[in-house]
Amino acid sequence: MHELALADHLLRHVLHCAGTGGLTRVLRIELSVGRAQQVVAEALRTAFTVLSEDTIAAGAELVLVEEPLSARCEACGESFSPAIDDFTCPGCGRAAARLVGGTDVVLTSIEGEGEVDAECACEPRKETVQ
Amino acid sequence: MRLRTKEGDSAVKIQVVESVLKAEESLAEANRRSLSEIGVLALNVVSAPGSGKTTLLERTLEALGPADRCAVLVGDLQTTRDAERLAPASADVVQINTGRGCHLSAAQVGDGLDRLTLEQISYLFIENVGNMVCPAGHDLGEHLRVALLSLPEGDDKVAKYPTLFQSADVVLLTKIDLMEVLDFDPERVRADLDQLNDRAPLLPLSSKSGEGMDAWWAWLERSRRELLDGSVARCA
Repeated sequence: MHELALADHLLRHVLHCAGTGGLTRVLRIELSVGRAQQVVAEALRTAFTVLSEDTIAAGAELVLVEEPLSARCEACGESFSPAIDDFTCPGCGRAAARLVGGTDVVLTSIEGEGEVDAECACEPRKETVQ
Repeated sequence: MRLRTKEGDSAVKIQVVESVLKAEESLAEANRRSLSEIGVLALNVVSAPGSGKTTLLERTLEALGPADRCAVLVGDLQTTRDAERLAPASADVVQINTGRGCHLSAAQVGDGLDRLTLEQISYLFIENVGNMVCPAGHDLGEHLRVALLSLPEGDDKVAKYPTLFQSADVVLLTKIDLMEVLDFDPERVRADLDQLNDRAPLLPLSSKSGEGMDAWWAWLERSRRELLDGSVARCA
């Protein structure tokens, strides 16, 4: 359900990085998507397709690589990879863990056409209005 | 770090490694820091639509009274109805309409904070958009997360929406005045929660009858004390 907002954030990053990186057309975008974000890949692709019309990222392929959950037990300090429905700590048996990974969405690469020599100085944009 | 490799004559790959959510996370940290500095305990109240968030807040604002002033940021897709309901109990209510957005964002909360006078406020309640999925993955800059589960929703919802309940610091089982007319097994909720998150106390209550509300208010008071002592777990 939040894929539209996510696609909006993603498109801003892609256009910013592609622009400062000297790309004139984006063909392929690779993302690492944390399991905790519960992203529906097809919904994200559809939203991205709609939002990216009339931009240099129109028609780009979105490749999603899922990042598994990782958690740290607040009771004993053990780090482990929980199932989404079972946070029982293998060290102490408590379910007192907090997620420390698998929570982010990371843009990992952009492929496209264009010049390569422009220095890419892209940083996360502050515009987060949805 | 960004590397570029040329693939063929014209295809270029830019390796980025950049969090799409980082800007939002920075804003959440900024919200939390500014609230911590002035001793305002911020609570992100999350649940399905209709589980009793607004009624809980109405009763809570009334009970805490002038001694512990509260402010509320209310998120909904449309209408100012919740803010209108809460206005008689608190002068510090801001409605945020998210339009197409299925959850509040840290940026929207930051804008809402700019519209509130937070001096002398003890508690900031952020009533999120009714939704059990999307708000779970978005830090708003709260200190603690409050999840509600109302009896009419059914006793299987902790297992069905694990991410929300795993991230909660307290779980309120609401509308327990309906216990006699519903087939709801609180032990099933307890068992599912024990597998996901045994940090969060499970507090059964009814905003309508008042049953169980004392435990909720005691939890609030204890949590604010811990914030002022610097020991709230999520306090950055």
